Amino acid sequence: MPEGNFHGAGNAPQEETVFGGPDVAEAVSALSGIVDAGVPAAESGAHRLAAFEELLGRHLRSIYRVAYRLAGNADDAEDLMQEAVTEAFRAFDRYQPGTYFDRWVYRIMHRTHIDSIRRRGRRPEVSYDAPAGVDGDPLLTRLGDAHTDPQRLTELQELDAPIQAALDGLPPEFRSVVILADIEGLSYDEIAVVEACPVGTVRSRLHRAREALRTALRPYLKGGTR
Amino acid sequence: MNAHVTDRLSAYLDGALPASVLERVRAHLEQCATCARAYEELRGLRGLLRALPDPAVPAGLVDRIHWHLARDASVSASRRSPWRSVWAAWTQPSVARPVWFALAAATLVVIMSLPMGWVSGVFAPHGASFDPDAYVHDYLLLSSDRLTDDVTRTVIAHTALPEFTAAR
Repeated sequence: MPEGNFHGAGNAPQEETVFGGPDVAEAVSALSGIVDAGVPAAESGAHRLAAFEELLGRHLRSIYRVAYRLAGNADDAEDLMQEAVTEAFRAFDRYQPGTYFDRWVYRIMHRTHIDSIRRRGRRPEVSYDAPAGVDGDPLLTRLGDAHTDPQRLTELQELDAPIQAALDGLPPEFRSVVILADIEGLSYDEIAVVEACPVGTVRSRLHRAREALRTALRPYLKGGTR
Repeated sequence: MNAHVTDRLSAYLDGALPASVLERVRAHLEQCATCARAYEELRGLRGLLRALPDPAVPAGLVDRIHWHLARDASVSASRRSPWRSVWAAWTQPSVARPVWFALAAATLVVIMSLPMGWVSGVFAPHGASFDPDAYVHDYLLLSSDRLTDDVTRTVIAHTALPEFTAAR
C-alpha cells in the first residue's frame, strides 16, 4: 500500500496558523486551489521548510487534536506531535502533492505512537485483534479497569475527561480507529491507509472499540444526539 | 425473533453494510428492544465523541515546532556535504556493483600472474632468469648450520645436480 495515498475531493479543514516569516508567502504562493499542494522534491532548505510549515499550519488544529486524543494529555500530545512532525518533515519529499496532508501526517503519527508505547514497554502482550473468547471481549475487561478507578475519575475535571479516560483504556490501534472515525470523520478506506491494515480489520476494530466504549460510558449515553 | 444483530450495529451506524444485510438489521431493530437500545447507545456514543471540544493548541507550540524543524533542517544540510554526495553517488548499487566487480577481477588477474611472473623472471633484477633448482642446490650446500656433515654436503654437491656441479 503506497504511503500517503490520501486522494480526496477538497473538504480539508481550513485552519490557518502562521508559521515562519515573510518567506512563507513566497514559498507557498503556488499552493492554492487544490486539496494540499506540496513542494517539488528538488526544493530544499528554507524554501522546503516554509512550504512544510504552511501545510502544517493549515492542519495544525486537527493534527494536534488527533495527537491529544491519542496521547491523552497535553504534555504527551506535544511530545507525540513533535516527534511525528519531525518524521514527516524528514519524509516530506515522499508526500504526494494533491493529497490530504493531515492524513499523511496521521499515518506517521500512528506509527510513531505505537513505537513510543513499545519503547516505553507499555505495549500489551495480548493481541486484542483476536476474536473474543468465552470469557468475553478482553477489551471490556481492560477498559473497565481503567474507567472505574474512582480515584482517577475524581481527578478528572474536564467535561470530556471520562471520555478521554475511556479512550485511554483502549489499546492504541483501537483508540486510533475510533478517533479517526468518530472524531475526525475518516472513512474505513482512509483509516485502513492510515493504519496500514485491511479494511476488514478497521471494521472489526471499530466495532469492538465502540462496544467497549459503549459499556464503559453507558451512564453518559442517552441515545443519539446526532 | 431473529438472532441479535449487535455485531452489525457499528457498520450499520456507518452505512457500511451491504443492502441485503442492512435491510435485515433494520427489520430486526424494529422488533428487538435490546438491539434497538444498543443502537441508540452507539449513536449517542458517536454524538459524544463528535461533540468533544477541541483541545487548545498550547501557546508556543508553533514556535517550538519551528525551532525543532529548523534545527533538523540545518543538521541535515550539514550532513549533505559535497563529499557526501559524491560518496553517495559512488555507493549507489547501480554504480558500485560494476566498479567493485572490475576491481575484484583486476586484483584476481594480478594475484594469479605473480607466481608466473616470478618464475618466468619478469620480476627478477636486470632481466636475469631465476633457476629454482640452482637456488635449492646453493641453499643446501651453503647452509652449514643445518648440514654440518661434510660428507653429506659433498654428496649433495655431486649428486643432486650432476650437470650443474660439472659445469662449475
